[in-house]
Amino acid sequence: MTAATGVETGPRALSCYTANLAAYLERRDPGALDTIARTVHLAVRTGLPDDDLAVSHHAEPLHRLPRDGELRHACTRSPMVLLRELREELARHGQVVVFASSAALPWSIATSERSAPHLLLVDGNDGERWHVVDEFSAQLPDGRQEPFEGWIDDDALIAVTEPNPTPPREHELRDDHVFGVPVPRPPSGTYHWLSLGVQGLPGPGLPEGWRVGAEASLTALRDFWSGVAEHPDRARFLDDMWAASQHHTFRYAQLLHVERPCAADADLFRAAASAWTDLPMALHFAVRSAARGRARPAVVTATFDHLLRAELAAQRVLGAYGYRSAP
Amino acid sequence: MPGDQDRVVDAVKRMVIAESRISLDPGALSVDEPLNGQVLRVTSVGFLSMLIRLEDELDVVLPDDLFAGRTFRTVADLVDVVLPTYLKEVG
Repeated sequence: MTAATGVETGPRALSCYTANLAAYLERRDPGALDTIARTVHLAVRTGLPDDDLAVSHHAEPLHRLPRDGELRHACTRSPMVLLRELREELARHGQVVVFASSAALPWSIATSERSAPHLLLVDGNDGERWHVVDEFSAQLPDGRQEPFEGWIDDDALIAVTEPNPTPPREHELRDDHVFGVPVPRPPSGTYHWLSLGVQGLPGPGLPEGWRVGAEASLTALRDFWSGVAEHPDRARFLDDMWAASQHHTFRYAQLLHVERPCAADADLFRAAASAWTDLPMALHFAVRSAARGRARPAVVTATFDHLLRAELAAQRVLGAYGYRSAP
Repeated sequence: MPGDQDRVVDAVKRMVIAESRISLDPGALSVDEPLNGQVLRVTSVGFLSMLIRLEDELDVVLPDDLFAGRTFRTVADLVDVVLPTYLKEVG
């Protein structure tokens, strides 16, 4: 609705995936949040089967910890094994990230119709209960989601992490790219967490076919979303656009907070942040208008063109502050 | 036209009051009132719903650059985007 100059700069400003992953990483490396901000990017892949959309938000893979190891997907079909493995991970590292469903979280305002995958931080176990931390905070369609920190018992932990045996494709794609590069996710229908191990060789990064960087990705997205009236099923990727908006507004908020740029540059960053803030609203407007028989492709085009201009203007000076400014 | 302007201002005020879930006479609400302040509390989600309802109630199509650099801080900002469209299409 207005510029995002007042957004938070901590993990709470991030998305339902990245917020608690960032909190995990920050506990191991106090500079992790700053690194995430500096390496936010947008890469997309359109033209996939079934009109799918894949999105990468992080230029530097989040699962590769710079100093001490690599996060790997771990899974089991047994809730008892899940509890045992989480206790062992806590004993080794003091914290663990688990995959949950937003509607299953007792403190979540999400309804079952709007439930989405949600990463949750577990950082304690007293034998009967688990201490959980959920930094995620946002204004959602169902109201304001506030952060949570507290204790839940075994049954509750099993309930919030209960897997969806048939997740929608958009959730699978999100899981595939949670770190910023494709990493094979566990089979559907399994309890799922991240286990910290020894760092392996660097992966190959994004494969061929991805549109990387502001100009290429935003142009591809403009074309994708301009056609939402003809392809209403594309609305299932609105949450991915909201996540991109969150990550970029977080980047600019962090930059403004940490780097104290000159006034001219600060104006460019605020303008770009504001344009990112408006993007999800414009896309929701286009989707709802199309559903009412009022296709508004020109709203989508005007919004993306404005965002691209603002983003490119900001990127011309981003590099001077040590932030990623090019593919 | 004063009548057209009054209709748009009244519609916008009624919408923001309803979105804020408060009871207030639209005539007592200043157009300078912030959309998110001590009186009104319009969330981004509510704002979006309001735009769609305004299109329906006033039978207008809001401009294509609605989300391209505009800033909506007060009731007047919202009137400023709706009124020219209304005058062009309906007035």
